[in-house]
Amino acid sequence: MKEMESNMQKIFGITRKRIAGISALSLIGGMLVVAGYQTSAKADALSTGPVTITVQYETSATGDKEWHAVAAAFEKLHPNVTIAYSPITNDAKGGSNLQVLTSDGSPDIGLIPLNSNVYTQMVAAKQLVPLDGIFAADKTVKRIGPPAAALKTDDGHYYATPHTVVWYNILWANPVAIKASGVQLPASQRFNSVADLIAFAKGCQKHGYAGLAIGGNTNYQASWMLDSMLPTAVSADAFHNYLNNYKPSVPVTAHYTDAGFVNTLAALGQLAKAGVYQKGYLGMNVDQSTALFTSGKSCLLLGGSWMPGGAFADATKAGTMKFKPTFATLPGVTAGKPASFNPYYGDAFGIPTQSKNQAWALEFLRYFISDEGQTIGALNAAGNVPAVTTIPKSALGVLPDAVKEVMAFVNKVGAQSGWTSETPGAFSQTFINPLIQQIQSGSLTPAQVAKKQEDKMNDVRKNGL
Amino acid sequence: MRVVGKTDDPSIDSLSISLASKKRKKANKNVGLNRTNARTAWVFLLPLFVVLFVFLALPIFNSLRLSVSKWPGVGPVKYVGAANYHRLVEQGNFFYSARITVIFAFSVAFLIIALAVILAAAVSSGIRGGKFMKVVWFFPGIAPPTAVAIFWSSSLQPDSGIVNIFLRNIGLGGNHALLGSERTALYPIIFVAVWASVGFAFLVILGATESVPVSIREAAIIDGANVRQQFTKITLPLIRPVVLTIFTLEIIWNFNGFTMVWAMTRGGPGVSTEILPIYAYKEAFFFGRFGTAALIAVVAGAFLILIGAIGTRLSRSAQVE
Repeated sequence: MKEMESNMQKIFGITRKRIAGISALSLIGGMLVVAGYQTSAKADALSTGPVTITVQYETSATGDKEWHAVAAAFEKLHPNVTIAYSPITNDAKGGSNLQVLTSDGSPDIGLIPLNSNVYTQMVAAKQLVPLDGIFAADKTVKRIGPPAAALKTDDGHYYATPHTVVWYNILWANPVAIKASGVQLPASQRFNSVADLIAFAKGCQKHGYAGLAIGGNTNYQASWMLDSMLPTAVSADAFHNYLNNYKPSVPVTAHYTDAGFVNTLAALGQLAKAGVYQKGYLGMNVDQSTALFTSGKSCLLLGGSWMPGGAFADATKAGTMKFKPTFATLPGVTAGKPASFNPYYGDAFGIPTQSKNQAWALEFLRYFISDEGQTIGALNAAGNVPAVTTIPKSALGVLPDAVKEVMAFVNKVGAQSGWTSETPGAFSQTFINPLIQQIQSGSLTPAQVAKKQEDKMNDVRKNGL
Repeated sequence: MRVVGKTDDPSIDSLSISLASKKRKKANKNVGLNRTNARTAWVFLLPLFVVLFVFLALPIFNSLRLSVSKWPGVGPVKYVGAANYHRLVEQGNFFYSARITVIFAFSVAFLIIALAVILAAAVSSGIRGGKFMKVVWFFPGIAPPTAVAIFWSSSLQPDSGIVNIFLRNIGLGGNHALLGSERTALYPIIFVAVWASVGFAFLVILGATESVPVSIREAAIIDGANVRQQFTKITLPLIRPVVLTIFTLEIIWNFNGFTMVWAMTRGGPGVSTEILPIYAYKEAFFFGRFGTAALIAVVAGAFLILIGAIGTRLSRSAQVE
C-alpha cells in the first residue's frame, strides 16, 4: 500500500492528505448538488428552463388521443415544456400502480381511479398533492357540478380531478338482430322487469343470437349491474346509506342482508340461470363480448357511453359492424321501477407528491380541465363527454350520435350513482365481483354473498381499508 | 466400511480406520489455510456475501417482517403479530387456494414428465421424424406465456374458438365453454401449461436418455430384453435423477405460475382458479393487504422449500442407487 502511495506521489504528486481533501470536497459537492436538485424540484415555480412532464394514461381507453391533443396545445403555449407518456393497463391502474405512484420514478400526473385502492391509500398516506388551487381558482367545483362534492376528501382537500363523465350499464342493442329475432325493445327503452329481459333474450336465442353479451371474467362487469339495479330495490335513504356505511362515522341503517340487496343479487342470479348471457360469458372479457356484439351475433351488449367513439367506431371502420346501435336500460328488480344508467367520473388524474415537476404538473392539469383543454382533449380528440358542464352545447355536436342520444335520455329520465363506483373498490367492487360470479355459476346463494358483504362492512368499519 | 485390505478381525478394522483418520487430518492441516490466506479468502468472498445478503437475506427477512405486519402498500408498517395468521386461517379462501395450487402444480408437473419421458423414449429409439419432433415440441416453450395464454383463451371460446370449431367438425359440438365454468376452468389451464412447458423437459430427458451407455443396452439385448424392458429396466432407472430433478423444478415453477392463470382467467370464474400467487397478488394490490400477501408468500415458500428438499433427496438417493 505504502509502495503504491509513493508511486502515486511520484507520478501525480498525490498524497494521502490530498486524497482525503479531494474526497471531502467531492462529498460536499455531491451533497450540494442533491440538495439543489431537491430544492429546485420543490420550488419549481414554473421555471423557464426545459421541463419534461410525464403523464400516465390507460392503454385500452382513449386516453392517448386525449392527452396527446391537449399536450400539443400546451406545448405550443409553453415551448420549454415537453410532455412524455407512461401508458398503464386497466388491470394495473387500480392495483400495482400504487407502487409506481409512490416511488421516486413516479410520473408527474398519475391516473388514479377514485374507487380504487390506489386512491384510498394515497389519500390516507398524504401521497397526493392537493389540487385545491385548481378547484378554487378556476371555479372547477362549479364547472363540474354536483359530482365535485364527492371529490372532496374527509380532510377538506381535492386530490384528483376527473376528465370525462361516462355512463355505464347501457344495454347497446343491435336492431338488425332484434328484428330478425322478432322481439322488440321496450318503447320506453327501459326493461320493466327481469322477466321481460329474460323473455327478450330467449327470443334472440331462438334465432341464433346471444341475448346479452357481457365480459363476465372481468373484475367489474358482474358488479356493474348491481349498480343499476340496486336503486330499484331499496329506498333512496337505504341507498344513500349503502354509499356511506363503510365509514365508521356513519350509522348503519341499511344492512347488506336486507331484502332489497339480497333481491338484487338474486335477480343477477336469475338472469344467469335463465341463460340471458352468451355461452361461456364467465370466460370472456369485454373485448370479446364487444366483438360478439359488433360482429352481429348478439342482440344486446352491456357497455358504456365510451363505446360508440371507440370500439364501435373501429369496428364500423373495419367493416365488421354493419348496424347502428340503439340502447336500453337494465331491468328494475322491483317490477314497474325501471333502472337507469350510472355516471362515472372515477378515472381521475392527480399529482403524486413524488412528482419532480409539481408546479408544471399543476399548471398542465389545470389546463387539461379548463374549458379549452376539455374541448381539445376529452371532447374533440377522444369523443367523450367532458367532466365540466361549461362547454357550450354547440361544441358537443362532435360527439357520436349514439352518445348524444344517451345524453338526451339521461336528461330525460335521470341517472343514478353507482354503488361500486362511489365506494372504495376494496370494500365493494373488488370484493363482491367474484362473489357475484359465484352466484352466476350457482356455487353461492344470494343470501351467502349478502352475508359476506355485511361481514366485510363490519370488518372495514372496525379495521379500516 | 473397510478402508484397507480385507479381514474378519474387527480390531484390525478399527485400527485401520483410526490410522486413516489421523493421516487425513494431517493432510488437511497441510493443505489448510493459514491466517493470512484465510483473511484474503474472506475478502474475496465478501462481495458474494454482500450480494447474498442484499438479494436473498434481506427480501426473506422483509417478507417475514411484513407477514406479521399491516401495510397497505404505502406509509408506515404496523406490527400486528399473529393477526394475519389468524385472518388467513379464518378465511376459507386460503385453504381452497392452496388446494387448487397443489392440484395445478402437481398435475402439470406429472403430465409434463409423463409426456416428456414418452417423447424422449420414442425419439431415442430412433423413431422417424425425431429431429422434427425435437423442434416442434420445443416451439411452444419459446413463445411468451402471456401470448400463449391469450391464444388459447381465444381458441377455447364457444362457437368462434378454433378448439370448438374443430370439435364441431368432428361431431363433438362446438359450444363448450370450458373457461366459463367453475367446474372446468382449471383443466384447460393445466393443458396449456403442459403444452407450453413439455418441450424443455423433453429435451433435458432426451439428453439424459441418450447419455445412457450403449454397452448397457447391448448387454440387456444379449440377455433377451425387449424394447419395453430395455426402457423400463435400464433407461428409466438410469435417468431417474434427471427425471426427479425436472419433476421437482416443474412443481416449483407451476406452483408459482402466475402469468398463465392470470392471463387466461384472472383466477375466475369466482375464485375457481385462484392459485396462491393470484390470491397473494389480489390481497396486496386489490385490497391493500401486503401483510397477508407476504404471509401467503412465506407459507408458499416454506412449502416449496420442503418440496425442493424432498426432490433433492430423492434425486440424490436415485443417483446413489
